[in-house]
Amino acid sequence: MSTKQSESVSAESIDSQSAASIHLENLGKTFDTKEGTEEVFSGIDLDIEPGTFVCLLGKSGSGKSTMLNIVSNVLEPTEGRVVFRNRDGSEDVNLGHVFQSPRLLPWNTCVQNIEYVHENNPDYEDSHAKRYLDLVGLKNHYNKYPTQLSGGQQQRVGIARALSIDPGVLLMDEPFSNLDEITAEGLREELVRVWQKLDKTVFFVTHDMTEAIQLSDRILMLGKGRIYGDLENPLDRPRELDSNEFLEFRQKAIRLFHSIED
Amino acid sequence: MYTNGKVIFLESTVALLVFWALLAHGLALTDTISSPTLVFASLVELLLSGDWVVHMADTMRRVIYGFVLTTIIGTVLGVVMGMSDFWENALQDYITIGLALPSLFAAIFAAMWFGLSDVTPMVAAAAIAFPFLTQNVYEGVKNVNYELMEMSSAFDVSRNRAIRRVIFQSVLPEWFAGARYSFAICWKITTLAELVAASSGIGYMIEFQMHKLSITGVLTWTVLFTMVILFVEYGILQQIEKRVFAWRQSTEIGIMGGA
Ligand SMILES: Nc1ncnc2c1ncn2[C@@H]1O[C@H](COP(=O)(O)OP(=O)(O)OP(=O)(O)O)[C@@H](O)[C@H]1O
Ligand SMILES: [Mg+2]
Repeated sequence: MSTKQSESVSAESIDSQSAASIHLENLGKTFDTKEGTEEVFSGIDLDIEPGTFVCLLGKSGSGKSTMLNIVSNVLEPTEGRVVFRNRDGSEDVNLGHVFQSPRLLPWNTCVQNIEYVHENNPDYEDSHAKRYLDLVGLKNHYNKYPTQLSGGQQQRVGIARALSIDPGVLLMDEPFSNLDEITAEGLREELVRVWQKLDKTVFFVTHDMTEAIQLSDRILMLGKGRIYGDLENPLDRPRELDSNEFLEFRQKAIRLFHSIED
Repeated sequence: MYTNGKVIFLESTVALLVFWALLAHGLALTDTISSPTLVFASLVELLLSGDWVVHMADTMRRVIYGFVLTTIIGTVLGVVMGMSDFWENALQDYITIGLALPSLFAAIFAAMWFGLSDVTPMVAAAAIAFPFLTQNVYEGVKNVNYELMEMSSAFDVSRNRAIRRVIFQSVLPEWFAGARYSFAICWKITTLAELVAASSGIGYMIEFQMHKLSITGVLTWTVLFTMVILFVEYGILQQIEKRVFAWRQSTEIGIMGGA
């Protein structure tokens, strides 16, 4: 439940639903193609604690997007199922989506873009959208159109939109891979800051090891149809990319990442 | 850029008028090419007499009939072609032919079938104009951003809302550009059809002045016609467009090409 009564449009006033856990149970996906059937993965069991920032890492074609799309309920699994659970045990969880490109309606302002996804929220008011735009650092851009924003700012609107529905789980498929490195770097820090402020589980797909280490609590490696790597991230936050601990852990993770190459 | 274009337009118009005046008066050619002052005087006289009102009203009415017919046919066929492969294949070639159809052909055929009634300019205008709108709407529907539709369903937005907020909005600019262009075509074809078969209207009056061999008369009516078109184009259509498409930084849409 989110409060809408407060006058002040400040990020501090966001009262967030608590994070949900994610459970993949014996999950498998096979595509039927003209050349026959193609198994992307099978028998995957995973439990993700509420509030965890998980990064799913894998080479191109390993099935990251497929898995995310199943978790997002965009694709049906061939076998198994995905369950979300709130801390109180209920299973009705909101999902927030952030895509690789911002996917904003170009003819709508930032506020209207957020309003668009609140069709079923009778209490929606523009102050709600503004609060989330504030949260991602877009205070002076409420009524701008996407074309009037930089690529990084557009992606921030995308993040604000996903957060505004107060999701228990935030699903992100390479959301920064279209941005230049400096902008992406800024957004990563921003995302961590926001995530620390709001209690959310994040399921984040990437092919960039440094990004995964910087963001995650836990790194999953997908390849050859299974999760072959599952690492706890031992680093304290905030994280220095050039610190010894960072580089050491990165070495270790990269070794594991390449361990299935034959 | 935008203002520059306007300045250049003004400058070139003035230059043309000066050149025309010099040629007419300097070489005593007023019988053949009239002159700006003669046309201006005759235009003032016409406007004061009020005779133009009935002709303008007749032409306007026919233009609007033609435009309404164009809009209906053009939009429906465009949407149908954009959504169904069958209709896309079935109609594509006809639209291509339609785009190339000579205006006079449509005017003469309509006149032979419908005679002196308002139906003649209406049908002639719609026959020439609708393919432009169809083509635009068709391309607009084809280019609806699939990712935005996916985003909508990921956020549980209902189908109706997605149609209103995504599909309709993304086709609107193409629709508007097509509608504006077809509107200009409707003007041209309506006056052309009036010239072929009508007993009133601007096209009819231009033809009437031509028979009197009055070049000043022909030019007076042509200038009046142009003034009205410019008013509709800049005073009405562009203002609507500015409002509707505020989200686009620039809306440079070609206007009034050859028909
Ligand atoms: N709709 C589909 N039909 C058939 N095969 C598919 C389909 N979608 C994905 N695949 C196959 O599933 C495999 C995994 O694809 P997926 O898009 O999940 O990879 P990815 O890890 O996200 O790669 P990338 O890093 O390039 O985005 C690929 O071999 C792909 O060819
Ligand atoms: Mg992918």
